[in-house]
Amino acid sequence: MLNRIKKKSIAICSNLILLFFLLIVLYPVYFIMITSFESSDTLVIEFSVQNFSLDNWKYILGIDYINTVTQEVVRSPYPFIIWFKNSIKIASITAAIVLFICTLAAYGLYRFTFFGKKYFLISLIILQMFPSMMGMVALFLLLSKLGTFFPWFGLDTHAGLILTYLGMTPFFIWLTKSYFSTIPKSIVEAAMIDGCKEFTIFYSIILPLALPMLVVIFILVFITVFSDFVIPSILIKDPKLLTFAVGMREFISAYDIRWGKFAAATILGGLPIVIIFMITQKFLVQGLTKGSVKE
Amino acid sequence: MKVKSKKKITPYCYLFFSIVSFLLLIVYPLLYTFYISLTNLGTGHILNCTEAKKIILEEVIYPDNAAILDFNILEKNNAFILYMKQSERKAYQIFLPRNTQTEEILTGTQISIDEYKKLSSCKNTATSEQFIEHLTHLERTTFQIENRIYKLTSLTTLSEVQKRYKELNTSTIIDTKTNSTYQPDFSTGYFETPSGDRLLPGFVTRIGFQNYLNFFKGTSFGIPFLKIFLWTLMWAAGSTISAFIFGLILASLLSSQTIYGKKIFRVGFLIPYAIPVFLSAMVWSAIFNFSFGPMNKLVSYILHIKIPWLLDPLWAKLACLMVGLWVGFPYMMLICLGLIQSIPQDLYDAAKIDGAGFIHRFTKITFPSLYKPMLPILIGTFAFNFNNFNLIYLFSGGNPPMVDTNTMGGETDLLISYTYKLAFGPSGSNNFGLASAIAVIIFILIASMSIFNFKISGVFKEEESL
Repeated sequence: MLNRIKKKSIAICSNLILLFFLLIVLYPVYFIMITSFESSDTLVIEFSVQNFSLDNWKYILGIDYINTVTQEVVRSPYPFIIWFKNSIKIASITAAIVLFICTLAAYGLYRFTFFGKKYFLISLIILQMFPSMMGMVALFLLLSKLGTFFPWFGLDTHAGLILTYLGMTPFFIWLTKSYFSTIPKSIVEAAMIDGCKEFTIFYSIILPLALPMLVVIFILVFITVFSDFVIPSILIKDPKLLTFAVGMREFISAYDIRWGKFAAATILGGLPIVIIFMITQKFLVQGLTKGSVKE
Repeated sequence: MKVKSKKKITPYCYLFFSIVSFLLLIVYPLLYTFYISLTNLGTGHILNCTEAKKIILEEVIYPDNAAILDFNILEKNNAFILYMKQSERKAYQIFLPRNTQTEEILTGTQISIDEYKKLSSCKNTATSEQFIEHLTHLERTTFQIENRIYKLTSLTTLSEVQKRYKELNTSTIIDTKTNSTYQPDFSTGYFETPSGDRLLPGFVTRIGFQNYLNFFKGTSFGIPFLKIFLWTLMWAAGSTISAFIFGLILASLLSSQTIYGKKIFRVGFLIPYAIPVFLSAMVWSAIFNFSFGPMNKLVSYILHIKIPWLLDPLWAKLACLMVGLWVGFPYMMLICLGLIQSIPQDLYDAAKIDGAGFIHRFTKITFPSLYKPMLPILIGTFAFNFNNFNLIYLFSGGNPPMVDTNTMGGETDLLISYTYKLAFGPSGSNNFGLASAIAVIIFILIASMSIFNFKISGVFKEEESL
């Protein structure tokens, strides 16, 4: 009897502790949420919305609204939605290309032995450690050279930006390769005996088996590109081509921070990844632990 | 079974794109950065020697009795000319806008200007804008008229100028005013007189390992590298370890059987991981705002004081670590959850029978079985945090500035954000050479850490067995 009471109290305690932590952890999210629905443009430090209004959201989404103080029609000079679309576009295209390159490469490394393989693998992972931001001077020159030959590929273009992001592929080649090696070789051998061509094995056997990993890589690349701030801020100058991260930074530093609008924009920017996370949570746990942890 | 491909070319087909992108986007920038780190490239040393010489030779001075020419800009049906009348029968003119030559040789002819109107600088905004636009183009031009060189000096006049420097031979420049000679000094990157007077601009030159020496000597630029380096280490270790501990606590609480609503907790704790760092960093800097932030509201409610977050070096560092914890713990929790679930339940059951309590079970079973697989992940996270530019740059921007030195470095600057400021910063004095040298040093540090990491986790062994 006493034991059961003790057990119960421990259970309640640990539940309460978790709840307490959860509230602390999620407070910033809640804080930004109520700030975005506040009509005044200041920081909200109350625990609920004081004067509810959608003006901040209208501002972010590019809808006209009437300023309650000055009675003027306000339209945002900042193309938040365009920035948002740019970011989504760049992040998903990059993720798709990285997937294409790294699955091909990982398959090549998984299936074949060839001259220099070991050194290629090792140099791949070690040179990858070079802080990509510091290679920017070189990449800047590279893109401006490329731009003189192919104008749509140079500085100030999305294609050029995506090209620079492909520098992150080596890390994902490793991740994919280590996931591939968990696939039993007997499956591949059976397929070979059945007379499958090399590319058919890759395309219709290995790829479907590695689906959880592919999802994880897509998400990881998407997040990295979506949240990157440095590279686009150096390569892109045209305000219409900016990504969300750089645009937000510009919006914040241009004005003496307008918290309400900033909060609304933050929620907008956080939304896509949170949604993707919720949908693919299962895959993520699987892929992250399997890809990174060596048993 | 590993395939020794019959067609030798097959594996390279699969690897083609990755090899190209690897060489182009990683190897080339790395080598180029290393090359830059051996030069003095930076503000004042952008051009090469010949280009710098060309700019120096273009410098002009006004002689004592300079000739002056009046000019007008005339307009007819949106066609413009720069017109200088010298006598009734002789005048000089150029049609505007000109292509972008910087030198123009004018010969005297007479054209009919009856239908042209004078474009005034102050008639109305439209004409004055046109006027100014033409002038800005002409400002960079030197005009050669009858063996004299003229330059624009006012809104209505050109005056005669003389080149100040002359080239004696390919490597020597002479100053026509003082008769001193300048020669390029390839160790400093300037044209210098023997006594050390310099001409601007300087040029890019290879200076060997000077940048690296400056980094290790530390204070030669008044830059407290050591201070920044120590803080970077502290930050990387602190944020990694605190995130690990918190993540581990949450994971072990979450994996005990008596938790209600596990799913909600798990999703809830993952939210910080799902929010892009650039956003959460900016949100946190709002929360820590000295006068308006909710953090100070809470603190002043409880303790009746306001803490100078982000203004005082120590508090700013603490705030950085707190944000690092918030951003970093979900990943650790995820990994720990996965690992704890892989520990066989029998172990815990046996321990329970033996009378081991919760804490005992944790220290004797959970922690030891986590330790080994966690180590590579911890080192990896350490390396990541070491270079966590986005978070620091957007959260504190490296502020507060260091008081006792005249550098752009701040108290919470990491090596990487400091390097960024050196290379691309807004201060107007960018030192690409030094920045590249620091980048190479960071790379060596991180790479050796990773090699150590792979040794521990046995990644290399696996490759050797292939």
